[in-house]
Amino acid sequence: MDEVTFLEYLSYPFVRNALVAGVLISLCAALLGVPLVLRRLSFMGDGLSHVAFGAMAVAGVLNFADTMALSLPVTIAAALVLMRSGRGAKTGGDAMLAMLSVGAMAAGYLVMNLKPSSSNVSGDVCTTLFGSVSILTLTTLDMWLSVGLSVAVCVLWLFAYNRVFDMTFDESYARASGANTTLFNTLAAVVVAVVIVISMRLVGTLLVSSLLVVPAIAAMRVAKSFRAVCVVAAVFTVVCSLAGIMIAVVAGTPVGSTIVAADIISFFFMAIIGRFLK
Amino acid sequence: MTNLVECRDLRLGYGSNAMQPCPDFTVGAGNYLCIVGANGSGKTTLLKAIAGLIKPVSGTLALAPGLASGGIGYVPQQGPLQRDFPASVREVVQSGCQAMRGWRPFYSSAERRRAKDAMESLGIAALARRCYRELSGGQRQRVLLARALCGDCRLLLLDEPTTGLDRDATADFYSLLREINAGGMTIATVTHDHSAALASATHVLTLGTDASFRRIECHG
Amino acid sequence: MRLAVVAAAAILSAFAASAAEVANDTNAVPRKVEMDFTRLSKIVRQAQVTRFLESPEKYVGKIVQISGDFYVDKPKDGEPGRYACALKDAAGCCAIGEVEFRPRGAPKWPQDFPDEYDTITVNGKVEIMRNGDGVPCPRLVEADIVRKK
Repeated sequence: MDEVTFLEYLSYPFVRNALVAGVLISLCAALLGVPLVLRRLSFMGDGLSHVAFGAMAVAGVLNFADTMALSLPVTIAAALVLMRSGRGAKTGGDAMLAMLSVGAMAAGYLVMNLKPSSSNVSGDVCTTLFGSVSILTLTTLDMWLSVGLSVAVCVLWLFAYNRVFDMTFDESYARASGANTTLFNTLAAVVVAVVIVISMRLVGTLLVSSLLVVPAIAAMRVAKSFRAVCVVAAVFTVVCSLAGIMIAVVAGTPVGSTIVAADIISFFFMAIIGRFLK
Repeated sequence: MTNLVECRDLRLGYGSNAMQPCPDFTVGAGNYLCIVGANGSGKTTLLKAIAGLIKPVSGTLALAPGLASGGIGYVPQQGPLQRDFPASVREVVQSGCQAMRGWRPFYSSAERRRAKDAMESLGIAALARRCYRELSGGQRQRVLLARALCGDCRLLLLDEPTTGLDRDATADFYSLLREINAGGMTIATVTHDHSAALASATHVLTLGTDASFRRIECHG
Repeated sequence: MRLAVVAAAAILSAFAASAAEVANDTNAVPRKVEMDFTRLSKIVRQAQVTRFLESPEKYVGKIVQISGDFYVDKPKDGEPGRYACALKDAAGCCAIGEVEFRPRGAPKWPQDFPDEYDTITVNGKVEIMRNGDGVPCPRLVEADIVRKK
């Protein structure tokens, strides 16, 4: 069996699409991840991705052409609910999240088994949970949606860069300076939900939070300013995702896990470098 | 209105629990007000109300025109989030101009100049590139002070600025505040260490059971 | 892993030399496979095969090569047999779909065929058929079974 070279794989449009979409998705995830980690909201990534899974399962069963049509609005709604309940409501923010996320997972899997839309429910679930091959099977619509949304998020983030810093470093100060913090937090919740839903295409439900979190914490090991953290996180994630997808395509390993493995290994390198820089 | 802040029959509280009524007080231009009282007497709450972060339950808290939108420099207590934050000193100080920046995505060169001037006036210009979390407590307070001074503020509010600082750092900080006040800035600071603060104060507002507002007659 | 496959192939070709050969003696004239799914890495193969099954019209007329488990509806009462290759996912645990193939020439069941459920590699020209639900599916005609396990 003669090996297929990477260049030959590149000749397939879906491989090229996967590289482009993968890099853009992971870029906006890493940028979002920086303020998320700094505000101690890392768990949000995991919880919301479980909600999205539930929504996707229901959408699949109802034979939606694109599951994002349901998973996007549902996840956004969940993010907004969390944002409200996090501010001192009866159920604490993290307890509410736990309930929503686990409930959604259970409901999703139940629904998939009650009305299976394919002969291979376990395999499909596995693929969705771990993102083994999803990025390589994007439809044209998926591709444009993912790319479009990623670019929009990145541009928005750039424009709001200073606002992101202000709100992340000291929200009370921002409010005292007249900033509309409720508007910002609402918008942020929506954007996080969007990024999580599109990231699931790349790395699967269970690994989404690492796509958000690892670049940020790796960058924080070596960077000494907020701008440096953002730049390092961006470069980190682009390099790791590119490498992860390329390795996965050639070696036949599941894409999601390969990217996350690349992230984690690179994180250790960064940690070592950080030690030396001190 | 010549006074910067005027307070009458003010009642503050969180949620629906009103705290003890606050004595009527005014803060005139150039004053140095110390807010003291036992823990839980509502000092931070009052400061937050002046800063516009919370609304009074009843009574009036009137600010001079133009003060509410960027005229107040606020130095809140530091939380654990900030202490561990990967930001350069310059970035923290620059964020003091956020009210001026408004909807614009980036700071103008005039705003960058202000940040630089603020750092220089507080003697921390050399720390501009240093990481905030690597600084000592005293240095961090100067950075937060520089941030507050960055905006075009006429009233400086400080919430227990010397918490966690040793005696020398505390003394340094209060002499810094004295200088700033001497330069014309109005200051209102919540403090729990009476002696160092009262040395420079023009007025003292005591909250709690023996609430009072009085002028300090003269200093040495 | 690769070593095991190479070793297995070596052993099998030794067996094939002495075992019953496939009646398709056109094996002696190998043809150009335009789309060889078997060369791809597992992940890419799964993605490509999924596309192939969902949108077979893109491959009509092309010679493709696939590999999977051999399934048979045995011929009986004068009815010809139906032969298919079941394609699996990357992990090799679950089937993604089945592709029916019609062998070239006139092979006789069972002597000219591999054992049922063996792993086979088969290539052939793609044409579209409609399954029981009216959904278009690919079928390989003029198919050669390239390698039997």
